[in-house]
Amino acid sequence: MCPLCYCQRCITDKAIPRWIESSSHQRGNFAWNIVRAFHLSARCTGCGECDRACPMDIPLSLINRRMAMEAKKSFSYVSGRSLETPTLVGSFNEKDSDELFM
Amino acid sequence: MDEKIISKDDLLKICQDIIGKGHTLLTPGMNEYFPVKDVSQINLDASALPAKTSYKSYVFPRSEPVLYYKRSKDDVQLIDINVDGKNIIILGAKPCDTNSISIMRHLFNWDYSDEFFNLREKHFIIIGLMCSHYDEYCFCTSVGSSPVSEKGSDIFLIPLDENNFALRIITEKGKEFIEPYSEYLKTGDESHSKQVTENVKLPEVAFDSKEVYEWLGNNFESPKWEGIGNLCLSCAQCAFVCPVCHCFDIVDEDYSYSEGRRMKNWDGCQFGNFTLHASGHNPRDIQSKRYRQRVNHKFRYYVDKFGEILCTGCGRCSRGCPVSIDIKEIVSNCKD
Ligand code: SF4
Ligand code: SF4
Ligand code: SF4
Ligand code: SF4
Repeated sequence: MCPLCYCQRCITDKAIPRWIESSSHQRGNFAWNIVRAFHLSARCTGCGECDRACPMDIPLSLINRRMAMEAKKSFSYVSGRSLETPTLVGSFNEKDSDELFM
Repeated sequence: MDEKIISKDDLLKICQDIIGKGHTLLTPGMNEYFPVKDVSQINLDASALPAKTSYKSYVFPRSEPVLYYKRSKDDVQLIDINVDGKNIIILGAKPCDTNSISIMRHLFNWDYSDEFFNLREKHFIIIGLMCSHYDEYCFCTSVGSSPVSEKGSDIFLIPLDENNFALRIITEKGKEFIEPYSEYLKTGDESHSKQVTENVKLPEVAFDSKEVYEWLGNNFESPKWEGIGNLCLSCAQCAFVCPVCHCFDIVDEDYSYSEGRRMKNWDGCQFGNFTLHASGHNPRDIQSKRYRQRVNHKFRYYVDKFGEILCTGCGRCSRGCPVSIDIKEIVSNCKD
């Protein structure tokens, strides 16, 4: 549903090596959600489709909004403001602040 | 049939006793059947729609280890798992849920007898509750069930008025379960509860399952599948919320080189990887073939193998589908 998800093959479908466990235990679910949060951080356009699609009514967009807040606070980055600015995750630099990581 | 009357207060006293004994008591909420901690959480509302998920995961968990392994240079050691056979009492199960376990039982005892499933099932007591309300997705009446069906219940409840239920004892298991509580039971009169059940509004019969069975046999290559395939996202939500879908995948999770565990995880035929062979070939490479599998498995293959339809008509898959694919509508269109 997500207009920002465009990978031909999702990382969850890759089995060799397996990055995200297919078991829906805490670790598997957590790994999936953390990957999704990072991939959408400062990219999510706030369309709300993920909330609408979730069969269990989990307000997934809250995670994306939180990530947008972090992007603004730590990198003064707001998605969708300019076509010229490189994307946040795409312009990763080793010298970037890592304060937001636990 | 043995029919009794019980007041809501007395029923809750029984529930209190069950929880006090340390058994698990499940009852439907909005999202799921949840373990009751306090009897004030019990609703027993016959007009509620089915919870978003069934209690399938209590007999067939979403993800569970089936064995542990240890690996050394020239040896592999397998460590078996003891299945927990805890008593689980399900109170207020919908008639479109009560028969789910008996439908799945065939599969789990077909070519291999699944001890995990069987032991858990043995410890289930299912107390069904008549259903008094349906929505546009319900079609239990099209698959041989109904909102007043006792099939699969050990005990069946019918609300007589605000404070009283007719309690029908259906199975030996149900009889054994309720016996210690006979002080709470008053003698019932069937004519009373019949009046209630006869007045329940039934969802309209949407299709004739025998005609669907025939059509499916002759229309494997129908262009109808392509239309649905183009819509479907391949998310398998429909399989995960379904009370009778039972596909699973076996995967090994290594903790380290020397140890790990073998997991049995829910899977679904709508996923692209479901039939992907190690060679790279995929016999169900496009979504239309996968959706065709879903309908055929439920309304033809399972009937061929086990004589039952693999669907209770609960409508969950349709309510939750992100692109509004309605299985009732699709199956109703399985005709020329
Ligand atoms: S499918 Fe039938 S039993 Fe289930 S909620 Fe709908 S009307 Fe009630
Ligand atoms: S829930 Fe809907 S979109 Fe998802 S796999 Fe099932 S039919 Fe397709
Ligand atoms: S296929 Fe859909 S309607 Fe039928 S039992 Fe499964 S979830 Fe319910
Ligand atoms: S419909 Fe699909 S997911 Fe459900 S039991 Fe059949 S093959 Fe498995």
